[in-house]
Amino acid sequence: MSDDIMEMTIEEDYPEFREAVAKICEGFPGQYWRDLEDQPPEGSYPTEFVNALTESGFLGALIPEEFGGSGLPIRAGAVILEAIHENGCTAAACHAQMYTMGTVLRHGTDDQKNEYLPKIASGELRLQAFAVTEPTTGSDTTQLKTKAERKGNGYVVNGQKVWTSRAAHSDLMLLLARTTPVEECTKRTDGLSCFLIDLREAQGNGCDIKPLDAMINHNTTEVFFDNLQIPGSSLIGEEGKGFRYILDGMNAERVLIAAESLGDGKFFIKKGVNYANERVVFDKPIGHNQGIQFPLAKAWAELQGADIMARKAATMFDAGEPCGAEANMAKYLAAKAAWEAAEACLTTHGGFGFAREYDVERKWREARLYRTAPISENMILAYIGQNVLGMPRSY
Amino acid sequence: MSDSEAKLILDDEDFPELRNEVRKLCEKYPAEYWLALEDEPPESSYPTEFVQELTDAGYLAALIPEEYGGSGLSLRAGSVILETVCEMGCQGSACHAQMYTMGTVLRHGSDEQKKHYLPKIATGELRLQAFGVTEPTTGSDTTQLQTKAERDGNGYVINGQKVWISRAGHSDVMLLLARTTPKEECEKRTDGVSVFLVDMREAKKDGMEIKPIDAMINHNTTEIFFDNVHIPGDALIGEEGKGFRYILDGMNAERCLVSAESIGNARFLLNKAIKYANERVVFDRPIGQNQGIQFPIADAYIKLQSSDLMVRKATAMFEAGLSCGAEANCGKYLSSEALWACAEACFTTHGGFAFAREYDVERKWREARLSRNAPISPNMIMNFIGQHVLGMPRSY
Repeated sequence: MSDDIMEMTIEEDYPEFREAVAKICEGFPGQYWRDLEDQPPEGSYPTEFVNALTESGFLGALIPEEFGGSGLPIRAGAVILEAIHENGCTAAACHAQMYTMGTVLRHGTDDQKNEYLPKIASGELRLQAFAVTEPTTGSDTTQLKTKAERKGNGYVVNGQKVWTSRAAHSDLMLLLARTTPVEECTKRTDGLSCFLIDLREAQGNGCDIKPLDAMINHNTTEVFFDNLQIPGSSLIGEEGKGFRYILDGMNAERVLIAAESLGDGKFFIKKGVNYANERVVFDKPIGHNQGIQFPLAKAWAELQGADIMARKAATMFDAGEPCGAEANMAKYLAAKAAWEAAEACLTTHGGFGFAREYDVERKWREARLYRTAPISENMILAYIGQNVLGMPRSY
Repeated sequence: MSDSEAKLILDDEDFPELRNEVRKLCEKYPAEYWLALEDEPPESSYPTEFVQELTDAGYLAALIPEEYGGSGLSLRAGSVILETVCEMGCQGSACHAQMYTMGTVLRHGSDEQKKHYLPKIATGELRLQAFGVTEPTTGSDTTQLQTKAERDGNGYVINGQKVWISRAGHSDVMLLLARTTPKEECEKRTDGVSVFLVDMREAKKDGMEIKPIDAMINHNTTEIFFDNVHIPGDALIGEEGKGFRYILDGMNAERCLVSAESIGNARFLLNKAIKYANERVVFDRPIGQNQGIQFPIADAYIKLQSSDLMVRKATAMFEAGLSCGAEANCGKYLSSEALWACAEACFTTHGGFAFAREYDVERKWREARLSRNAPISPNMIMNFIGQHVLGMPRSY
């Protein structure tokens, strides 16, 4: 632990970023997102929105300046994503472009970093697909079955991934695959490796991407590997250490996703309060009723609490301090608070909450996701119970 | 108060033959049928084949007396039909109104009206499944509705607007609640509105416009605009000005029926959750072995069982002619909350796959959310209980 006192800001930091993002989002109102939901998978990606964000440079926020990014702390990335969600838009279509590169940054060779990071920073190359989860192993990540077997100077990949979002809109994909059979590993966390796959080469040559029809427009897919050949230079870092590489990027991801939930929460509270003040039934604004007012107030209080935890996690991360507990708690609290706010907003709108044109139900459906992904509430509780509070492993 | 005793059957499956017959019918309409309908535009998203089959089997005539061609079954039997439809993953909301909206005609219509309409509703020749009450500006404040029915010669002319009128695109007649005496001339808030049976086929040619509402669930719901729509004098049901009372006395039966649907939907979701919890193996054992998965399911089951009893109690009281507003509202409230608990437990249990449409969890999860809003909101039920059952001041 450092001897320095750790301080964090409690004000609305990076106001220039918040304003700039709000301006971009103004160009993408509810109708834009609703229309996308009516498209088949091929046409449902928010290309124009992602382009606008790419051009703004915000997606390169976390890439060091030496590689063409802005070299900002994770807190800045969090503020950008929070602002996107607060303004009614959805960052899921492009947030990975911000942080998936982290594995290359921390564990790639100089060659790999020089080759890829500048192009990711400019948006010339999209690295926004992260192939980890598998249909049969779910939360038991280390037991994943997709194999990458040595063949000459490269590898041959066989297996299947699920919930690989944005794979159809990415040029590169980070893949976690098994390089040492489970039986030959001493620890559960050994034997996995990270690869940077060039999807432009791989698709149709042993890598097939199938859109998944889901409750929300998440541009998510199943990916099938059938004797996909990849060059040896695809390997990131050392064979067998892939799980550890992925892990150290998890905290960053948790902090960033928590920020999206916080933005959602603010969106819902604002919409709910506006409607509660405007909608007059029984001769008074419905917000006059505690049955409407209190759930919104409660959700706001939960949101404020989650916000402080999220700032703490970001501050510790940027200071290089271990922050697994804080990052997980931030993710947990923010997703829960956002859901409470979503529920209060939907309830406040009465029947109109169900009408698509009111733009409540879309974000409500999306808010449900973060209680499950990228890590579920139960898995976070298991982590806290075991690794923070010292109770036995329960699963 | 009647002398008859209210008795409820405690067997988990009352009316077992009825349940089994309905199950057999519903088996022909699996998840794929309902998922495909959700992909259709409003004009083609109605489960026509399913509703037709239910109609042909006579289930939607369950509550119409035999003298009018119905089955003359009890409210509980009607509830069991709807509960089973939902338990099988089908939609009760697409056709439940055909079962009970006629109740207002049955209780308050003239002999002529009953003889003219009820037999055709029983066979399905006439669809009466649109109930025009709610308006966009007045919401839960029903008595303040603004759609007017003004005397015009022997008939009336209608002007105004309704919202959330489900199945209007699939109904031949509609029960309409409209104001016949201006508010200022009424002594009580509950006076001055009247009930009409509107022939929609005629009205559509004369100023009535139906617009589908694009909603989060496939509820075939609409907005209806009335622009000088003429209706004959014999469209009036009962007496002018007493419409709100007529509607009210049908509410308890409706609450029981809709609550039974919630119970059925809850069972569908709960059964799915248990199955997946037992089959899905992660970290080397069924996920149901984890209390984090198991306890929410068990908790939801407890809520389901207790709300089911409340609904049965309300139904039994209704059948015995006992005043049952409190029980019917409690049953609605509890069954909706139990349904949501089952929906959430099922959704969480399925992890990521809850989001995949083909797993058919998210469809009924979205629909479950509606039950906590319509046809009456939990807050309005709590107002009723707080004020009329527990004697606290009116809070709104």
